[in-house]
Formats: sequence, C-alpha cells, structure tokens
Amino acid sequence: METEEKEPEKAVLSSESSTFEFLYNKDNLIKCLQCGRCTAGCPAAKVFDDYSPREIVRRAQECSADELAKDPLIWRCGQCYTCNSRCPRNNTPASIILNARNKAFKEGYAPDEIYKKASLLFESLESIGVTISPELFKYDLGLLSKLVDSDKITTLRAELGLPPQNARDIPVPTKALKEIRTILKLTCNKGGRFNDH
Amino acid sequence: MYLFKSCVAGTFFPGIERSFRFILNSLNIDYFDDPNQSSCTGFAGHCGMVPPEANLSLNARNLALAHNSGYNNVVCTCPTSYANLKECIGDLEDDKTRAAINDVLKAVNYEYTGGVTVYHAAEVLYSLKEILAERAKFSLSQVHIATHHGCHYTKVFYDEVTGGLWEYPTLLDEICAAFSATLVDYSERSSCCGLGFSHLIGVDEYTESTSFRKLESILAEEPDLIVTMCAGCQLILDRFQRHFEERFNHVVPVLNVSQLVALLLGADKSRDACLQFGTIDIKPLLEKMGAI
Repeated sequence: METEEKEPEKAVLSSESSTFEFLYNKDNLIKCLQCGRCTAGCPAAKVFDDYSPREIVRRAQECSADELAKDPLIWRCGQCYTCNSRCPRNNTPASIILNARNKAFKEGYAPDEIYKKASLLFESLESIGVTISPELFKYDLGLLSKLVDSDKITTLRAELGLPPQNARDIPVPTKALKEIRTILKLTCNKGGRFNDH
Repeated sequence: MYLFKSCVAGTFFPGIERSFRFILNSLNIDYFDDPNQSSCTGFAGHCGMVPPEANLSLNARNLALAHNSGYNNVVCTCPTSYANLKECIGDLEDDKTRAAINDVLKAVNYEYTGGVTVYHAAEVLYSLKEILAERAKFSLSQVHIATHHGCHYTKVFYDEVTGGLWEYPTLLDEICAAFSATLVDYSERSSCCGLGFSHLIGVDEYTESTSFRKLESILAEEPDLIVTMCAGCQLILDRFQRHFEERFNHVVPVLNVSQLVALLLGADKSRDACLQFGTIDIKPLLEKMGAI
C-alpha cells in the first residue's frame, strides 16, 4: 500500500489536456434558474444545514474550477442524482460536484480520508481488477466496516467455495489484469496519488 | 447477453448474480459470463478518486470485450455500473474523446467501435415476467412488498426508465405483481437508500440519517419484504435495520429482484439465491410464499 510514488511510464492523457476540458466547461451551467428544485429533493441538503446543490451550481457559475474544487461542501453530496432528474433545465449538479471532486483529488485538495480510502480501493483494482472486494475487509472502511460482520461473510463465502479475497467467482485472468494495470498506468495522473506498480 | 459483474454484489451478495444466471439457465437463454472484464470503478468514481480518462478507458475496454465476443447486449445487476457504462457510451460518441481513449486502448490491443447497448438485469426480468410467472413453483399472493428502485437506475438516465416514470418507477412492482404480490406504497419511495459512496466508507451523518428516514417510512407500511435491484441498496437496507433494531418495532428481509424470481422458480435457497448473506430472518416470508 505505502509504495513510493513514481511517474507513470507515459502520460498519454491528463485532465488538463484539451480533450477533457469539457468536464469543467462553465457553458454547461449558464442555464441554471436558481429555482432550487435540486435542493428541495436533495437528501444531503436534509442532513446538512450548510449544504445546497443550488448554491453549488451558483458557485460553479461564479467561481473558478479551482475555487470550487477547494470548497469542502462538495464532499457533502451523496451522488444520488436526484438533482439531475429534478432539474427543469437539464443541469446535473451531481456531475458538477463529481468533476470538482476529481479536480480536488488530483490537486491535493480532497480530505485525507479520501486519499486513504482511494489507496485501498486502487490496491484492490490493481491487484484483482475489482473496486470493492472481500480483500478490503482487513482495512478500516469507516461506517461500512462497522455495519458488516466480515468474519461471517468470509465464512459464508468459504462454504460456497468462493475465492476468500475476490469478489469474482472466477478471478480476472492474468492477461486481463495486465491490460487493466497498463490502462491505469496510462490514465492515472501524477497528482492523483496512484501507485505505479 | 453479456453479463456485467458487480463488485458490491460479488462481495456481499453472491446470490444476486447466481440467481440471475439460474433464471437464464431455466429459460435456456444464451449469455456470456466473461471473467476478463474489469470493475466499472463506479464506487471509487463517485468519490472523485478515478480520473475521467481512467474510467472511460477501462469501460471502453469492457464494452469492446462485449462487442468482440458478439454479445452486444450488456446486462448489469448494479445500477451504478448501468449508469456509468451508459455515460461512457455517451461520452465516447464524441470523436475527439473516442480517439483519445482509443489511443490508450492501442497499448492493450483493443479498439472501441460502439455497437453495444446497456441494460439492467431487472429490465430483462420485466420483459420476461409473464413467462417467468407461468413457470413459478410458488406464489406471492400472500406477500406484501415495498420496492426500492436504485437512484442510479431511475435518476441518471431518468427518461429511459422501464416501467412507470422516474418519479414513480414501477419496474420492480410490475415484476412482483406478475407473481400476484400486493405492493405497498410509502412516502419516501423515491428517496436514496443512504449509501452515498464516500459517506459509507467515511464517517458522517449522511448514511445513517438518510437510511433511517427511508427505512422508517418503509416499515410504517408493514410489508413482508423489501425488493431492490441494487446490491448497495440491499446492503444498506438490510444492515441498517439491524443497526437501528432498537428503534424499529419489527424488521423485514431485503431481497434483490433476481433472488426473489429465482426462488419463485425453485432455485436452491443457499447455493443459488444465497439467502444466508442477508441478516434478517427470512422464514416467515418463505412460509407465506409456500416455499417451506
């Protein structure tokens, strides 16, 4: 897990290249009426008094992508996309937030907790090609670890003859794993804290 | 059809994919269960951890695997995979994006050329519901069901929902009704289960508070069963009933629609449906179904 960071062999793409600029394009947002239908249906807005997707969209219109990425409120969203389905102008506050999170993650603005969990999920992705797997039971996964009796799941999986640490009944074959690792190496940017295996 | 695997289902509820394959086998429907696909990365993706180019490249490879196999109907059991793959297909329609992603795929000898359609497994069951009901060994005529359609099925591609409208989806309700179930409505029907991705693997109020509101509303209607189409929702709705047990008068089992349909067709409760992975007593439900 704690391997040193090296540069990817070949940086084919980065989110700063022109190809992916559309993700942060403000032109996608100018239609917002500030009507608040997103906030009225938002489960995160019910939980957190300081959070409103309507306000996030307003900030996305007025601030730079960098300022939005630094806003800690982007981590309040639960990514349920209720805002997407309710918007009369076909905006997607959840996607604006996701793009801001991607930028925050890349630039080093994301909460420490996110980097810690990312290293776990990416270890699973790189080692067996699967994002969530029983292999992760040995780590602290916050609330998920408290909810799940991992010993019981491990026992039940063994009774079914399932691989103890793999979410797949047939593990991803070696050749495919090499392909997955090559793609990760080519596409995960330097600032993204990905380990180069 | 090309079966797309779910990491959450594979980890916590292996019965979901086993049940779906049991149903397809029962009807002699051809499918390809390909181990070479990668995770869609959606769980980490919604936490902001996956750069868009990594998500697009991995899923362009997945979609190319399906296309190259000749099985162009990709069927997901996970609504997050369903929505993520559909979003990727949309993004890859852009010439510049597709060229950039294919440049990555060259390194692993793949090319994304499109030609693939993505469905959710519940849509397959919906299209087969009359045939499935004819073959049922048991009935839901004594069973009251509350359904929960996953947000990433109903709210991302909200205008492509099968059965009802995104604001009131009836996909799962109509499948259950084909087996004579009684459906119960509840006030928080279209609310999120509470999973929240980064919230679930971190610690804050979102998941607990949202799942409590959802479950309180469901349990007030006293159903015998909650039916979902998402392993993540199933995990939340099952485990949080245990978590809040002292605050609820009673708890009810949670099943994925594939597990329920497989059981109705006579699937093995442990080996196929893997009911042992749920934490709530399922015997009262099985008695009402006439399955024990």
